[in-house]
Amino acid sequence: MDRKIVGIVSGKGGVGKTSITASLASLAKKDEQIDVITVDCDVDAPNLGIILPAEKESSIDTHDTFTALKAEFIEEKCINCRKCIEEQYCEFNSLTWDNQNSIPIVDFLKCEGCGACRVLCPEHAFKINTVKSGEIIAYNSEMGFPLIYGKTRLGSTTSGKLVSDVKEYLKSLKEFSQSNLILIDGPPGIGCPVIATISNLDYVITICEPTPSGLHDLIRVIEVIQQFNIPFGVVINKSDLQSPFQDDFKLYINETGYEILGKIPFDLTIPKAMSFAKPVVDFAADSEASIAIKKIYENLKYILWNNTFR
Amino acid sequence: MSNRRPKIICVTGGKGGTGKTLCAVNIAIMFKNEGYKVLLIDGDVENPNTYLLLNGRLENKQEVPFFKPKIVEEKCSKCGICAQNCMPNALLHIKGAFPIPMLTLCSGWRLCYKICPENAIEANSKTIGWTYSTEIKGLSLILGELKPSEARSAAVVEALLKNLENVVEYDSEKFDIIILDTAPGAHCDVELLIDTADVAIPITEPTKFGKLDLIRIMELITLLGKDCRVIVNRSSLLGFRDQFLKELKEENIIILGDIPLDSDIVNSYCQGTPIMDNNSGFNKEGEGYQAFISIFGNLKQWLNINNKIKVKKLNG
Amino acid sequence: MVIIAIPSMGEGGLNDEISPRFGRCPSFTFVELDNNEITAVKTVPNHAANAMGGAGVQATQIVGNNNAKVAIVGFLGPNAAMGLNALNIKLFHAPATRMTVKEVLDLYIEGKLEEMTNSNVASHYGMGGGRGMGGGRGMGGGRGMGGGRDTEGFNNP
Repeated sequence: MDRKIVGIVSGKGGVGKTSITASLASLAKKDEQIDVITVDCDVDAPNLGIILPAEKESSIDTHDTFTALKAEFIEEKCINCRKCIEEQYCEFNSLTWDNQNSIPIVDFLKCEGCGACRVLCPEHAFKINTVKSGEIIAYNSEMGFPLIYGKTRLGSTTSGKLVSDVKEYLKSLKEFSQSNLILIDGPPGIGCPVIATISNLDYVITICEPTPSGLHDLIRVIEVIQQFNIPFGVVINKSDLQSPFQDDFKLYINETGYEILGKIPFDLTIPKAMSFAKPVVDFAADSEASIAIKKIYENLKYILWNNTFR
Repeated sequence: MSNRRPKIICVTGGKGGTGKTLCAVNIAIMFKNEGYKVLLIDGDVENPNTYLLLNGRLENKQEVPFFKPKIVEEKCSKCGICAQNCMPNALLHIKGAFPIPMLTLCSGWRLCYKICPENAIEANSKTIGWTYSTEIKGLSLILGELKPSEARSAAVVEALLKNLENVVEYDSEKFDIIILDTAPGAHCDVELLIDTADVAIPITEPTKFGKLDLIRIMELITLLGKDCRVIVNRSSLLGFRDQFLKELKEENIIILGDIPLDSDIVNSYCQGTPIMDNNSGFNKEGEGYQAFISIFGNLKQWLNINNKIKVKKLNG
Repeated sequence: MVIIAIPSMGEGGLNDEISPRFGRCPSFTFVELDNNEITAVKTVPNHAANAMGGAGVQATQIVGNNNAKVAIVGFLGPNAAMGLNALNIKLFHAPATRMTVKEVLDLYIEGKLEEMTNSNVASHYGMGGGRGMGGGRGMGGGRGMGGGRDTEGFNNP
């Protein structure tokens, strides 16, 4: 079976991407036909490793990434002309004037490393350095398959890039050539880290919940997925949530004709399983949630490798 | 007291789905109930939801422009200095030819515009999103929306903050309280909003995920030099409450309060009627309602906000 | 007379192996063809190979600056595709088997290569859709004192 790379996104945060990814991975591991690798691209808040921890501490491999750029002020070259402030070299307000010492101060967090100060300063009193942007961590999980995740260094403003770096790193794993299913837990939202996650994927699973914001955010993320022409399917989590919005939600979903991969009823075994740091399909294999997720897994396999939609 | 600055509160959280928008909206409503003039800014520009919780409509649509360089061929000497200095390589230049903008690579830093020796680059723009403003349920609401398929959400957040700056500069007494609702995560658009605020209120949930992301967002808040107090939402989930609150206390994390699971809250969320609105009709003895009241009291105490302002207003 | 650019694996030249990558290939071999006869061969190291980002654009510039009108490529990212198309450089697809520069050139001369117009892989850096370095703000016009050089024209709410 040829390799398929599948991303799990949602638009709205907190609808169950990570829990569901972990359970799908567990099912994939038990499936003899499948060799799975999991990736956590929610680089601003990576959580997949909580449910899929490392087999042992010593197997954890950490790589620093240095793809952020920040300006550095070189005091010896400065002639205190203040042009950098007067002429507003910086687009991002990261240059302020230190009145006491008559020199500019670079705000590390705000600086984007665009190089304007380096180019514009007549005395060449700024340079641009590459700085640590985050980390890529890889290990063999307790369940027996590899897990990679990225984690941004706070303030580095390069989340999208780190996501791309994590996906690139995936290819260097020795298990990659053997693998035929890659499950990528994506970030919430629709901006650059999400775009970086879904680019070049074979399939995207979008998870939603039947609330007004759940639906609103689903529509927005689908708009982005469609722009990239990637096939996708919808999973409705907490599908039987009792709310006045339920009927409107059902109506909308039926009208759009989106491929529905499955529906998971509201089931407290999911957060319970998570509190024990276990995928729900292992913690409570007979629960309604587990049964629903198993169906989703079967549907996913069918779609990926039979190239038809049910 | 003239030139009184409004208090700016940023409601954030790191983890998605903890109830940031729910809390931001209801805190705004509670201030409004007591006569304060409140501005709510929805900075979750990738998925702005505040208006859904308020049953509002988006009005006063304004485009947010994003820099797009235009090469003015009559002035261009083809020197290539713009392309050489463009770090994202968003200008393709071969000898003897005009530089070609590669718009999908452009980060909008405008360096080319600034350094062209012939002033041959014009600053044009494309639309990266929109801002909206409206009055709803006694609140002023400004909301930002990123255009789907555009990547730079922080640019729309900057537009919102520019809007805010204009408002405050023009009339610092127009609002007493400004509430900023952020996206989940901890990247640059969230950072911008926390940085603008006086204080931050992270919203978390009593789970391992919640705690991990809370600690991360608090690291960012500390890095930005802001004070914060936490709200634990859905605290009654699976009986985790006491253990979780104990853990937070052990880490010296101060909370404003916790909100239990409450079907009134779910209903209010889906109906678009904030539970704390005076006219909402929800049970004022309900657990969720009471939790918000308690949180609001602690919030006012923390920020030294008392009813002096309201009294002044009543007296003319 | 036409100059053809072929990404190569080593130092370049007719006997060097072709490189399946474009933006980060180790070198380019430029072959001048006149009436399907090779009249000149030039090799150029690809300094974009180690670039942090934007390799596709930088490599395109090398190809353009060496006056190539045709390029024979294996995998092509979106930024390079955009750039090569903007320069009106014709693209032909190299088969996915190992071969020398001379061998792929012969296939081209025999008309056995397929033309391509678009990229066939996501960019390796940036965000896949060729959106650059990720993150970053830069709406244009700084905030704070003074404001930028253009006008945004927002109304106050």
